Amino acid sequence: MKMQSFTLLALFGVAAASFAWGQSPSGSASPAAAPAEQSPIPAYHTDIPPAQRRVFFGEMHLHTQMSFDAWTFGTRTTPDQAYKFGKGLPITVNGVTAQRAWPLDFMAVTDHSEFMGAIAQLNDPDSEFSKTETGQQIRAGGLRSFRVLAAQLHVKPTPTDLANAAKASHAWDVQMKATQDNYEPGKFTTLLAYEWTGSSPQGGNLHRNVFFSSDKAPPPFSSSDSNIAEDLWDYLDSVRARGIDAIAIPHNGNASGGAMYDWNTYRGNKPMDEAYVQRRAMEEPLTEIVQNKGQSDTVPELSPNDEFANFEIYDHLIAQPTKLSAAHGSYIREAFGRGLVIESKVGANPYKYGVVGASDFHNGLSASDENAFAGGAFGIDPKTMSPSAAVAKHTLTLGTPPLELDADAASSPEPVIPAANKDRPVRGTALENSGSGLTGLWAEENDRGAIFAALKRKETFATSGTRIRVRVFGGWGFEPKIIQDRDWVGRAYAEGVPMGSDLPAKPAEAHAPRFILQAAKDPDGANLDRIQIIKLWLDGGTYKEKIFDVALSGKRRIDRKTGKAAAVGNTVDLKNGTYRNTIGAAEFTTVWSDPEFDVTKPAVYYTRTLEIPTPRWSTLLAVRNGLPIPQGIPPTIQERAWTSPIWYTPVKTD
Amino acid sequence: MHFLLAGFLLFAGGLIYQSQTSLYRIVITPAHVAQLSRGYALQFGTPPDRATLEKLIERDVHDEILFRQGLALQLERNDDIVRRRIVQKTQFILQDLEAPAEPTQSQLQAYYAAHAARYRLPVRASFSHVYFSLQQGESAALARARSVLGNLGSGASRAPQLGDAFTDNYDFADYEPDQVTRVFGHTEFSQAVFSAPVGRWSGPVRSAYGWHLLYVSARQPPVQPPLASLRDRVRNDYLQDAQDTANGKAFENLAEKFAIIREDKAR
Repeated sequence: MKMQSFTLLALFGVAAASFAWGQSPSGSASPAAAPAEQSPIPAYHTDIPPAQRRVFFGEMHLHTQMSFDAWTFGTRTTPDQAYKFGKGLPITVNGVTAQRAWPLDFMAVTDHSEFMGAIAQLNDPDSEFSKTETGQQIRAGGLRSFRVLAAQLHVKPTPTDLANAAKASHAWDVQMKATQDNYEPGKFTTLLAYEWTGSSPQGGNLHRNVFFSSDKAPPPFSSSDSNIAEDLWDYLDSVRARGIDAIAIPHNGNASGGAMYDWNTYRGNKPMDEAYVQRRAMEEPLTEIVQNKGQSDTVPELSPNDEFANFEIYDHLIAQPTKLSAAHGSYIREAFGRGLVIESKVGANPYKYGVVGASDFHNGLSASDENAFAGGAFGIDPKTMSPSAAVAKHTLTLGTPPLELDADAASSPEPVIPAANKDRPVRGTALENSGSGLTGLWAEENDRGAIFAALKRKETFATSGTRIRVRVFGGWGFEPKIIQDRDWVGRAYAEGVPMGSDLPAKPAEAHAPRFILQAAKDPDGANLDRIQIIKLWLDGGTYKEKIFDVALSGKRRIDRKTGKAAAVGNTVDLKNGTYRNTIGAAEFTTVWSDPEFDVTKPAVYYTRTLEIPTPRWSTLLAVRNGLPIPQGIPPTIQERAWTSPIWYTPVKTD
Repeated sequence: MHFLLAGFLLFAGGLIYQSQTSLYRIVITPAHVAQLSRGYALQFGTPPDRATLEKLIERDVHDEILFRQGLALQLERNDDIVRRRIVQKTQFILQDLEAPAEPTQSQLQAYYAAHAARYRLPVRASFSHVYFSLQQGESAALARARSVLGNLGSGASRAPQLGDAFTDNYDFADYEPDQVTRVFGHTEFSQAVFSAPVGRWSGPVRSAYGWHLLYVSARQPPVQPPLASLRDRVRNDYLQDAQDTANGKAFENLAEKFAIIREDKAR
């Protein structure tokens, strides 16, 4: 009988011992110590003058099979394949050849860091995997152990070495290698990046993408390490202390439930003080304004006088179509205004954001053309990956059924709309997703140093997917004729500032700031409708918003009574899914002076350039498949570009 | 009686199991603490201080408790994320086994010859242009362009001041077709850059933005660069291809051990 219990204990012992312990090491909720070894971040230097900066278009947000959710969606595209697709090379996806319609200039794969594996398990002698029989055989090294291992795996053994075994055993190494292998300075820049997937206590989206200036970086700090953004910033500080620059870019404020651009801190929901605000602006110089899950500029509720605000709306928590995301605190335009208010109280502005755009697609295929999207979170090559008519029909009628649907509702002929969605029937369906966005930026060259420097100085703009080229300069002395000078760009840099900057100090004789605005249409796309300046300024304890049309195509003028210009018109043929460039302008260059400038009031100016109407992806998909154009969503859209703002701050006179 | 004794012993064994060797016993070893510390140091570049380390341990214990409870409930079964991690790990190990051998010079040459098109440099052109905007309409721009062309002597190879301000550069050096279309669109202009006569003004040609006069100063035909100048890139591609092939074979060898029964196709 004693024997029995020993056996029993022994069995339990084995069972207990076989439990894995501490799969992945964890970071800290609040790392206290400053890194011991400080090394400076090398400053970017170029001999090319700013006047020769060129525009580059890129993808700043994309998932591959390395992301846990993308894998679950069936994605098997690797980071390496994703970069190859982005630079225009053909790749094979699920057995078909896919090629991007036009190559990107730069790109970042931003897989979720959660479950990516924080440590190279084979590199660490104490990792649980290293302690297993298989791991030990690998670590023991040498040909013999590999033969043993190979036999275990039932594969034919071949000679190799330990270093090689350890090399690719780690997801972060895979990311770094793909970034290194696909970098072609002058032609295609890769940025090492990942996504930190934090959320508010109420389930609001507080996700951030993290970007590194180098193609090597420490293992990612994930939301499993900490769900609080301030802790992520501690990690960024520690990375910078090791000589690698790093920034975080928040995205999908629209789905944050009001938490993204709140008045208060993330940790503890406390009022911000000056040190906090300065730090936040440093850690997060940019924010993402448009992507597959809607735009985060503004909504009609916040900007009732903006007739173009009702654009690609996604106003609920992600994957929870009946949990509406509160508008206040969720949108960037309001954050620009709130930033002025906070600055008036604590002396610094936490929301001094430049803007970027991206796809956030989850199948490793970055695309932004309306015809390269057919619902979901996936880019396609329309030549080889267009969905079948049956799939298209499902996408365009029911879409992805909202979660609240009855179990059998998905097969019912009529969509069942949850009560909360009566005002917006497409909420939670595939129809509300967007053909996604792009980032444009102005840099001296297409290499990692120049691109990262452009991001840091916020000389960026975002588009809803087309290649509108926009640049904006602010200053005090630009005379209207400056733009007739062939070399006005050089003067604009010398005498003013590009977008993403503060206006220089106001000279005594100047009356109002002047802005040079230039927009050129997508060379293969639609003409432009107009350029607008969106101004927010501090007024008492709050902020005001106003939109100025500063360039209009055709012979339109602003109506003195309404302050608005007539719509540009519409050439879209809904039967064939086409449009004609017989209206609109190919380019605008103009100088604008603020007619309502008040020298005592802090202000922020950013621009929005609109294209003429073109068919939305849902219309193109319907036309391609001979289906009716879906209801509940506009059949056409006015694609657009938003630039990073220019700020005016009065000189303190105390 | 014996049964009772057996029952009691089983019960006692269970208690001991719970208190000493069980699922419910979590032992923090120095080696494990060292591992937590190392993981932190990798992320933050410095070892944790004492308070931080205690927090790390605390949270790790928290996770371990939930992890063990989850295992006891067999939550790892049919879990897509767990499955994915294991698939990836196995894949890594499988791939690591097959390190391809360095190619010999002749293997490299053969590979380069077989994939020559991949390394060919496309046609390139250097050119300057004068731009006429559509501000006053299509025909006005065209007429101005024609008139300027008549006045352009053979001397000047650039004359942006004779036209309007353009939204991009006036001079382009060594541009590939793809780079030209990115600026000017898939238009007549972009084609003309690679077909217009070299060394004199031509046009007007239409781009996405208006009318242009064009001066192509030089054009290089497509070039097949010597292998020596691309050695590293070709070697990387060779090794990558060899690795892919080896990985495919390793999987096939493994897959041979498995019988796949397609009940969905059975009648």
